[in-house]
Amino acid sequence: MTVWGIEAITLNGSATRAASERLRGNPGVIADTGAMNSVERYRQEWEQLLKSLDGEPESLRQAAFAGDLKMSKFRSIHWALLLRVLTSEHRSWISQRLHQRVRYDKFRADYVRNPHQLAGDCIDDPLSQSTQSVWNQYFSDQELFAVIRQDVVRTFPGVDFFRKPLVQNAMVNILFYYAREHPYMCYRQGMHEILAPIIFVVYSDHQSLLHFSELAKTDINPTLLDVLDPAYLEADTYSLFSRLMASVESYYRVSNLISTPGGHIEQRAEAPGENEPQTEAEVISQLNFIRDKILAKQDQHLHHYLQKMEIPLHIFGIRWLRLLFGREFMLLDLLLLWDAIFADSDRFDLPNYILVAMLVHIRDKLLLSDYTTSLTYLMRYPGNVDVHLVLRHALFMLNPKKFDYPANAFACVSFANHSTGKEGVPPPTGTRPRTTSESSSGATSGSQIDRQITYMQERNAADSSALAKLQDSHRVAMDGYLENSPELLRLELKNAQTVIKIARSKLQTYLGTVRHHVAKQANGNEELGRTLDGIEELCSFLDVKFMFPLHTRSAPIDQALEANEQKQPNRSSISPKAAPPAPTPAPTASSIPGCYEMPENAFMHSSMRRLLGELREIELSTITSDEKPGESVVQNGLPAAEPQQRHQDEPS
Amino acid sequence: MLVLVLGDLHIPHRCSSLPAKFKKLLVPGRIHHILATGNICTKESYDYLKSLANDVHIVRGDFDENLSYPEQKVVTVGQFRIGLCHGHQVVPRGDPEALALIQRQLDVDILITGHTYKFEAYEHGNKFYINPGSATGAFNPLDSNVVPSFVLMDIQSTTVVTYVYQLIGDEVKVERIEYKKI
Repeated sequence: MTVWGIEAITLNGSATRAASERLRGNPGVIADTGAMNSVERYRQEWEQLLKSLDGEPESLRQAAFAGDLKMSKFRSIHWALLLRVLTSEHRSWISQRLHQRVRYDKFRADYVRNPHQLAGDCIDDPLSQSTQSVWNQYFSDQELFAVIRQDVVRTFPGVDFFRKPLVQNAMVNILFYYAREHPYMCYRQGMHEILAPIIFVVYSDHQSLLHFSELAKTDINPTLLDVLDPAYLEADTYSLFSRLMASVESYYRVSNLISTPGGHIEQRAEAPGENEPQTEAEVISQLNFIRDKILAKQDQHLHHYLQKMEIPLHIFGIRWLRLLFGREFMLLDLLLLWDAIFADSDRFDLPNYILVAMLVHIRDKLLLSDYTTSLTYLMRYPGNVDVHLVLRHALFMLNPKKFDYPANAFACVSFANHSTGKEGVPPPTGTRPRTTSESSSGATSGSQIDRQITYMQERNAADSSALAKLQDSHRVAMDGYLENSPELLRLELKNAQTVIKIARSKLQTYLGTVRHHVAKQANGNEELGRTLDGIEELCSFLDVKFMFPLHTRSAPIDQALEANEQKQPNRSSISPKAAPPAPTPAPTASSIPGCYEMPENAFMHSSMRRLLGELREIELSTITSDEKPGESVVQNGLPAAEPQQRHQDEPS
Repeated sequence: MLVLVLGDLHIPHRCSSLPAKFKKLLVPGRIHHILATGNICTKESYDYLKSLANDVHIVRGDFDENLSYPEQKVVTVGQFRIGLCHGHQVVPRGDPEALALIQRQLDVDILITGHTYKFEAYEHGNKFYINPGSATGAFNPLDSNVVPSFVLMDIQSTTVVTYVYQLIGDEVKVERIEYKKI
């Protein structure tokens, strides 16, 4: 029986030695012109890196946030800099690396001791239970190796890179040394998935250097050669890994464990599943913090939904955090995410926001599903989510001042809401992006603006006349149906009509206010926020009403709604009994009625679109701004605007 | 490779069980092979040994219930041929020359026998002889003051490091004897 670690070390050592020999003693390679380009590019990137370190080290951070490291051949160095494994003083990199590598070599001597070759005089025996015993340590190490290897061989099953014995052995060693070096942490499942991307990045950088040095023959920067020396794959990866673990160890820490140096088995036995809230105190409290402080603020709707469904965040959140989203994204996407996480800060706030951003991104799917389906989405995060959008959104939530709201981030979300129609209007998150994204697109063409303004004016006129009509025709319409319909239907109808009436009048009020304040533009932000809240409230009203046609789809009801909604273009096709129309707006393409239910949907859509559409149009025009200036007082009873929303409105 | 050598348990006839201190030491997962010199007696004892290691080799002692155990057995561990025999066939009991005869018959590097209830480990004619004694300290007709003992061999290529565990008073005493194959 040999120690796995020892095997791995010798294997790894010989392999990397061969590689480095190839590297050093191989200047005579033919360099064709095409390759020279890549050589020059490589060299240029390296010099660029050094230059930016001398000049403005902050630019590295910016590059990481912007996702510019995607193609970088020096991502591992970027990471080392961001995680402060290397300092920005690149002239001392060689000595820094040397220090780390010597320390790592020392682990080998300290932690891998073969009891079979012990000197005869010491009192130690293979069955000893003493914590001092080398034998005892040896056996627990064996167990630890077995556990680690079991996980390591299953790392990223789809990526061939992790099937290489060299890589697997290096990973096992690194994890083992880490566990021994940090007995209070030991090895916990999941660490291998933290390690995997790191070793991948370091290894790729080494390969790039090998390739480069083969082509470039001579004149290679000695610092570069040393810092990316493939012989030290393990040591350099370990430095990154241990530094990263220092930041995420709170995700792994379990409060009730007593640290027993060397007693890995006991620790492991006590730390089984992910679903033990009382033992996982730290990560649970962090998830609760995320839920209450970030999610609730960003997306109240989703927050309520999760609470209503009794889906606690830790069901999936623990895994998301522990693996730093390693299972949720493809490897290359993940690296992008990590660039930003590392660039953010040592406290690792960004993952919290990324978690929320990920939730918000699948909010449509979640809100439309039942408990089981929601859980499925959360446990197996949809693969088609754009990691850039998630990242941009998370960065925005983290620091709205520094990062812009991602353009078109939620366009898809909002549209999805409209088309599915079952969820009502999205909460503030849904309305936000329009202010930024639409303003830019709208500004591009003047004729488009004009058209929008005209259309809006038409609709406003239609709305007001419809409202006026409502006062008159309401009673009449109700009476007419009273004779024909059962009592229940009548009550429902009445209820629906009331809801619509309230919703519509509120809509008018708020829009008036918004127009008013946008017109003034100066310090109207708080009220603007409140207005948005009002719109949100209105949405929930409309939501209630929307359920209505599902129970009762008889003709009279449709007609009743038509009577209220005179402005609807589809009215003429269904209801001969409806009240005569007010000034007719141009029919929109989307609202051609197909059946009795469709008019309802169409109405919902167009009214929502109007509601949301108003917001963007308001920015563009002051023409309608003086319509109902006095109405702003109405919002007193509404909840105070949230700061996030106010930020949203600022760019407008 | 760790090989546990023990025998002459006589459970339950002469002793109720292994000493608690021994049981504490014998944990699963560390021992790879077990060589038992016989007088395991019952199936329960055999099952216990089986729980410590998967690979259990037993020869028949004069009190074994299971009559299908062989009288003698040769096991190869690493580069060592190890002969196993209970020893009640050897007359006089535990005599080095008589044991050497068996060693030559079996052509082994290490001969393990029991039956004397007394730990012994010695080199004789360049071969290694081990008697693990009685693991339970069961009495024998000639000696009622038996020290419980067993042997653990750590076999590394051409070297055997023998650890002898003896329960003296209330303390487990460990001795270490090294034997190199030439």
